[in-house]
Amino acid sequence: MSDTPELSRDEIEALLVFLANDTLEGEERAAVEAAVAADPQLAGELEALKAMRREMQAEEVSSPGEMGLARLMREIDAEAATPVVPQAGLPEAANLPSAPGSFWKIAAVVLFGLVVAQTAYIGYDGGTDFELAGGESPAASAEFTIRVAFAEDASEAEIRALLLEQGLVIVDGPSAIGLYTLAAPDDAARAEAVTALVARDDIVESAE
Amino acid sequence: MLNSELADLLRRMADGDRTAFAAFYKELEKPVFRFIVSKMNDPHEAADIQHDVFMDIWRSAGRFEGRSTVKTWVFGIAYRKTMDHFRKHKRVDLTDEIDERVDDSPDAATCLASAQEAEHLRYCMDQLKPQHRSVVELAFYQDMTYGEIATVAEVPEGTIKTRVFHAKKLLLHCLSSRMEVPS
Repeated sequence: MSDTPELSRDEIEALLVFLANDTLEGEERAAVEAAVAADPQLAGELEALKAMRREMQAEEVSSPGEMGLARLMREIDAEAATPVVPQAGLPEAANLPSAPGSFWKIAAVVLFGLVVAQTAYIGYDGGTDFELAGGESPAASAEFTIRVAFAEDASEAEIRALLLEQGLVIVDGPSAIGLYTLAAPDDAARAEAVTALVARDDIVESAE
Repeated sequence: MLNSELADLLRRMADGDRTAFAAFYKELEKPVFRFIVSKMNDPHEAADIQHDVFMDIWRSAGRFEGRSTVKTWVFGIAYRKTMDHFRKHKRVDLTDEIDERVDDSPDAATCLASAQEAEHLRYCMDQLKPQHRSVVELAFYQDMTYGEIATVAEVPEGTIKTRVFHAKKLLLHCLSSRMEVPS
């Protein structure tokens, strides 16, 4: 300890953590290294902390990934579509949302996305990871997308049931004109889903 | 990704560039989620908090002034959101009082060094108060300096050293108890 008079024992013990993660520098590093060299208990603790760090960094975490990003993008779109301040001189209709969908529908879709994300998350067994755009999702691919406009009076429950039935995931939307982008797992499923969506004209205005 | 690259993405996000936001999210989503979920023990709550964190980043990208690294700034937001959640749900006593019943014997260290058991480690991490757990996580998951952790938690560096000191002792004590090392 005589080599490190500027640091207390408690401080050395605290800084041991930052020697273990290799971020300690300069005189502090030299002082803690000297203390470790002179004290077997500190040396043992340092090894323990390094082992702890390795263990923690090796731990796998299944994060929301692409589903989380899709949810964020939907909220960003919804915020962008929200009129903030009515502008003087514009007709009243100009202050309405530009997209054909209404606010409840945006909220419903955000909610739906949350359900999908949660379902996917619950179903995740650790064997596959979610990828961001550019990679492949285990449930749907960006290659097999469908652009859809929902009917004005379609309910959130109806939309949700239809998408679940067809195995579709909302990956983007609503656009400025109220279109949503859905993704199917593969080309065959996409073709089948388009047919099914078009057939449900009580819920879907257009799908292609 | 370098700090300068992350800062550039933030500048583009401030101009409404969603592609930059996606790249930013891709770079930091996993470490941020790991930081949050390790304190929540509930992936759904953690996912909701992470969502709020990245929405905050999107909305406030233009306010990043470069006084800290981007990563530190982001983890600061995640830290505040997580602590706000705990406060709302009254799941944490926000004092630094701790149980001082710690075991200073070298056996605790020897125990962990010889048996790296993730389950024991996770259990013992869960026993820590969120403030204590955070410093360990930021030090070991994110390899942050104590200065960076102080910035994230918005407390003086001395407070971080105190928290680290206590967290380390409690962890080693817990691990030695769990693994029943004969003294």
